[in-house]
Amino acid sequence: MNKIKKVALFFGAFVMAVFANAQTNADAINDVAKAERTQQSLYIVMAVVITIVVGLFLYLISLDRKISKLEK
Amino acid sequence: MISKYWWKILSFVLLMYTCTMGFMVKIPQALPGVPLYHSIRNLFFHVPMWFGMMVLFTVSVVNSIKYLRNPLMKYEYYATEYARTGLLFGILGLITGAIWANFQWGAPWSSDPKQNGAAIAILIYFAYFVLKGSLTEEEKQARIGAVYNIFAYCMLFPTIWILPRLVESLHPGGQGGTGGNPALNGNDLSPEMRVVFWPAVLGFTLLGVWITTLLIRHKKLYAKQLDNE
Repeated sequence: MNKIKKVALFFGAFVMAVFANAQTNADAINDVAKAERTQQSLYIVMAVVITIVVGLFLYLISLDRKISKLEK
Repeated sequence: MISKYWWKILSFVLLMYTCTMGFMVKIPQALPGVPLYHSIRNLFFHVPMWFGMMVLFTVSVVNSIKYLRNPLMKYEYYATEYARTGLLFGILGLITGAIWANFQWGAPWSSDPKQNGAAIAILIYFAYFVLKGSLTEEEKQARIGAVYNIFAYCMLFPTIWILPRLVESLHPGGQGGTGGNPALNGNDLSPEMRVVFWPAVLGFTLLGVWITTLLIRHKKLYAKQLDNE
């Protein structure tokens, strides 16, 4: 009886350990995904800002050309 | 230099560099004091507005003085249009500052001395345009405007540079235990950030100059057209 208990306890602890390990692994993967997503969201903002700045520059160039034409 | 176009390309290149590196550059982690996290990247966009404004207002006041010494209309156009773009930069600086403050200090307007000072400076420059607009005679407009512009420029320094530093401020450089927000007091900027910050200042300033030259050319064309009529 005592022996069975010991073995059961051992396996129980082993299984728990595996589960606990799996848990931290999952958490770690989650954290990595989260960090990646945070980083990606920054690039989205970068894309938006670049689009706006390029658009503004194109507008400025077209204005510059129009005024140059008028000056001639 | 103004009639050439290489500096326009330079402005574009510098701003593209700012808009990419501004997001990719490594920011210092775990600063003492208020944690800014990624919002410290605003340094590359919010602060150049004020630097650009200072440069544009300086060019404006130089042209006002030139006008008073030698009353040519071109100086008047330069002074007015540089002040106009400077004002635009100032307003953008206030708005971007409010957005940042809303995240960082919990309110868009916490009556921080530097915020108040900047708002006063902007209002003084608004008065420049109100004053000019209220005069009908072109020469009077130019002369009184030029004198007022010198006054406005002299007020700019106490309101945004001196007064906020004499009291406690959330902005960097104020008095008090922490010396304002310590995250941006220069020593905390990493060298990588400096390499993005100064090109950003130059790029935004050149952009302001470009916009101003367009305004000046437009105004000259308009004046010519009025003469022909």
